[in-house]
Amino acid sequence: MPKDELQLGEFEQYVLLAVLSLKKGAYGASIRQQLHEAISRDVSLGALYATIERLEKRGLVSSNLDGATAKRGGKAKRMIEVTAIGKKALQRSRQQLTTMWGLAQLRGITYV
Amino acid sequence: MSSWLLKLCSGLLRLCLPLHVADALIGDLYEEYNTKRLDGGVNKAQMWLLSQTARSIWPFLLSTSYTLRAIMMLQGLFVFMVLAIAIMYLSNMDDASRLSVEFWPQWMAGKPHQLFLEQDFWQFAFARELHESNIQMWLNPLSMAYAGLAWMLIKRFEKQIKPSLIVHLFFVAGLMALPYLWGVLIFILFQPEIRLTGPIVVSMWFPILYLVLPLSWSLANSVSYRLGLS
Repeated sequence: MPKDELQLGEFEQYVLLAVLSLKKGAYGASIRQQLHEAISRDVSLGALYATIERLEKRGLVSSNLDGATAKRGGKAKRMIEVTAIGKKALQRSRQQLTTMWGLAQLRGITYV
Repeated sequence: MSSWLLKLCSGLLRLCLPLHVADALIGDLYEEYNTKRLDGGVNKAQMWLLSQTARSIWPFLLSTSYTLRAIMMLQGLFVFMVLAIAIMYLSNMDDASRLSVEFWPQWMAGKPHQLFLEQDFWQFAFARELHESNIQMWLNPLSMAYAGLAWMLIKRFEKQIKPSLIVHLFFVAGLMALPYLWGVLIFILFQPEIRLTGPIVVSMWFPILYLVLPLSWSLANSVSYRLGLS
């Protein structure tokens, strides 16, 4: 896989991390709530699903339908899981950020 | 009321979103709406529902390949229609004084596009000239040859060079603009008589007319592929 395919945007990283933290319980509403509670990001379900679609096309997450209930108007949940490629992409993003933070600290920038 | 609102929001979402996304998203919307209704009351939940629906539609409208293709094709179609009507307008014009006195000096200076700023063109062209054309008028062998050559060059460029999107766009725009710039150069260098200017303008406009729709389609596909939307 080309290295560019592993490049993640900030919101993509948040979504992948939220999915990982929710383990087997990651679907639209739970990811949205997790992002709201953890980092106070009030995202729309549409923006979230657009990102999930993009990540799935790139092979970074996979999904399957499960758990239709009356509370959900009889609609199934789209359960999301991070794939091995998704985890690799997250690790790469973390390494890049750590490297850049390290560089900034080497230059004496400690006030951020 | 809330049931009616839920159905309206669901209907809107099913209309604007891909179906495989809409169903799961509507389920999430129902689930959160019901939780919010129990926690904060119906009014608050309804406001949340309306805001979520409105905010959920636009990311898909902006990001789906279908919409992107539609916008790019509409732009191409607009250019095609305006050029075609301009050609019909000029071909059937029986009274040159219908255009403003400033227009003809501009025409002779190699700026036939000034026609698109003429009031008469926009006021009457659509209604008056639309049906007065024959098929032969639309066939210009030289422009067809150029359009075919440009199309082959673009496809070869895409295949062999695999350019970035910006370079690709510039290459396509450059090939479309080349006959136009060539025509302007002829106007400036040779200052032809007005009776000889028609064929020059034909060679400036027809390649664009032939190329704009297939290139819009090809570019729309290329852009959506590169943005990961197709």
